[in-house]
Amino acid sequence: MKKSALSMKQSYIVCAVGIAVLFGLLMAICESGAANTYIKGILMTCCIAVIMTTSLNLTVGVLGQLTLGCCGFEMIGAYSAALLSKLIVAKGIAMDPTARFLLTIFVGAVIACIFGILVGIPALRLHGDYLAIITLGFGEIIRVVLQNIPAAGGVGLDKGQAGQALIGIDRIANLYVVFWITVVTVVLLFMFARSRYGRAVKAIRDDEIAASASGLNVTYLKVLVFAISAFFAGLAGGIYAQYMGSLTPAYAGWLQSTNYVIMVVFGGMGSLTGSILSAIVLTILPEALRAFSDYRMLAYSVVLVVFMIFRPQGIFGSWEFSLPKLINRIVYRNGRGGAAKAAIAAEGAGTAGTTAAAKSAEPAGKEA
Amino acid sequence: MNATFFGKATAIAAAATMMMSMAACSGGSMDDSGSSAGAASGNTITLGSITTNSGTAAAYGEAELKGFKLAISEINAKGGLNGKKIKLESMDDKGDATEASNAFNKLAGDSNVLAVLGPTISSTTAAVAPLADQSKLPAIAPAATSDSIATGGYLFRTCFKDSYQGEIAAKFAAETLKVKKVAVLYGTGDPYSSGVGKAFAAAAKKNGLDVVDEENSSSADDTEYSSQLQKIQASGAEFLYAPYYYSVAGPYIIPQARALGYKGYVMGPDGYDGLKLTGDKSQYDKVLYTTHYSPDDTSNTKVQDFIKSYEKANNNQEPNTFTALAYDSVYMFKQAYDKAGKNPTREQVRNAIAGMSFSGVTGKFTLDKKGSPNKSVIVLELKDGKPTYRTTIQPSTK
Repeated sequence: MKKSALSMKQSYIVCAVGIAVLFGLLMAICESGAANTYIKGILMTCCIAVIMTTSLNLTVGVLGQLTLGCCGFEMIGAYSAALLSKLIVAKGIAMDPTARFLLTIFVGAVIACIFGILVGIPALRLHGDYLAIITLGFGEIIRVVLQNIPAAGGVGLDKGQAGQALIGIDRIANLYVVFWITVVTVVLLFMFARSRYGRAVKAIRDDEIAASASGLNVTYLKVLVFAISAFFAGLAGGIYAQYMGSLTPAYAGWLQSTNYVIMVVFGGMGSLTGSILSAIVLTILPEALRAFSDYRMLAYSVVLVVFMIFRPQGIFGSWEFSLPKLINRIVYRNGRGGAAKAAIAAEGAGTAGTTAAAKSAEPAGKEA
Repeated sequence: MNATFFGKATAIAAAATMMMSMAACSGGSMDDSGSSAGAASGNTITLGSITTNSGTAAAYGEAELKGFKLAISEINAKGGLNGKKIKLESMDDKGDATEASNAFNKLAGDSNVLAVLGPTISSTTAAVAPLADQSKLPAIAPAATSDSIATGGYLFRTCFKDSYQGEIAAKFAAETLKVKKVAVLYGTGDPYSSGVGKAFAAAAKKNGLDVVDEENSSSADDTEYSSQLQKIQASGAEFLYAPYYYSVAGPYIIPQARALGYKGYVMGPDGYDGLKLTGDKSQYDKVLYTTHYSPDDTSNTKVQDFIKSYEKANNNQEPNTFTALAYDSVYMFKQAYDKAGKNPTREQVRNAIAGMSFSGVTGKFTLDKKGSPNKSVIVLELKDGKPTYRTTIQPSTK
């Protein structure tokens, strides 16, 4: 049993305060006018990337199944939300934009989730490369289907034109709302990964046969994870649609999906906080590198390659950043007697071990 | 266990919903228009450019950027605009819509930027269109041809629209080639191919042509078209309109049609630029395509001047269509700037661009209410496998 400076309740409060401080910062830069549309646009893109990456990490990192179809689900959510939003406007239903935004992204997410279940049931009988190829194919199917639906092109609905980009979507995504959606998403995913279900899913990742022999319903759990992942991808899609104002079917292809897989691997498979960090870093990086102009993409690639050579398990590996843990460490470091110091040393070794294990690439997944 | 998980979840969701009520504050809104009015100050005028300089469409973006730079250096060499030099702030968008909108937002936030040139491809341009209207920063897209772009507000284009090419091809078939029976083949999965193909079919009927067969392929990069071409051959068509890209029409569609004994005309849109040829060159006789610009066009004196100027600046390389369109875009801005009066604001520049009449390397045109030019189109014909200038079709004055 580990010694902890904070009770369960206190740790929740600490986390809540942490999030509130983050939101306070966000409000401060937005309300003071320090953030122009450019900065806000990047923050918005970061939020979308965080939702996509953390939800994908549930499948790739926690369940250990490589999928390349996350943008397919994202686009299902995006197109559903965009068309529903257009429909509400076309029907002349009076609705507060924020309410419309929340409703449409939720509906988009549910539709993406249904597709997640439909695809998941047959696809999850396969693993590894085979699953990757199936999901890759799925993304391409979505792309081609979208290209051929007249209602999903041009100005959409009955005036639509097949094969064109969908334009004229109301840009009603609000940064504050999106921030809270991101927070809720991450919290839910975190709770899921920490719950009994989450542990069962990790058991499947580590040894499917053993998990099955212990009485876990492997198929059910796999489809559950896949569906949750698809739900949040759809949610991100709805936000994306109503931030960008236009959608192209090409976005559903596997090329975009690999971007998010890169973010997951970069952050550390199985670490949700790692995913958050890498989503933010990799979204900001290309913008920050604009100063290099022509060498921008070269620099971006070099950063990725160098990083993967020296830290193949990603930024965090499977370690999770946690505010209560941090406070714990600070408190104990300030001296609370030798026994506590020893406990710290043990715990410290655990975390430092992740760094040391860089080369051995030992699955440090058996976290405390 | 289960109950606590969902209990916590609902509690958090409820708390978050409450927090969201704060969203009513204006700061979170992405729509803060007019934060920077943008007037040219000092001794330079800044033009922003967004082009695709990396990724699959990089060649187009690079060509455009060369066109921008050439036109700007010409203007600066002649003393600039009203004595002010033009500075180019160039951005890369990777062909990605999110990157393009980030780049545009960045330019919009810089109050020195008076107008934006670009983006390069249609999907990025569609994403930038609402941003241009929102931030009231005029943009001129040189080569985004898709019909599905909301132009006419603050976004304009130098090239003609996809559907316009189909209409012109139908007019050309009816009036110049004087054929009666036409067929059309297009890829349904591709916005460009299907957009142009459908526009041609509709316009052909209007021009009194008999559309004897309308065939399609599932994508625009298939390599096998024999079954569709057989039906077209059987229908007795004298003219086939096949809007595909150079990499498909050249090596597959045309040789396959000729192999089946089809001897009529084959016509395509500007995607035929740089057509890839295989086998006997004589099979490419009677192949025509519409395009924006031809180096052999003798009816337009500006073309030769442009080519000379470009070759001088770029080690005798030949300019392409994208360069020509980009070059014209800069001169469109110049003309608008001169018209807009002293030290114009972004809005004044926009008003000067709207509805302007312009004469450049890629022809004479007037921008219609929707911000797209109603312009002359060049028809090229392949002779011995080499595209040669056939004619220029003037826009119908409606």
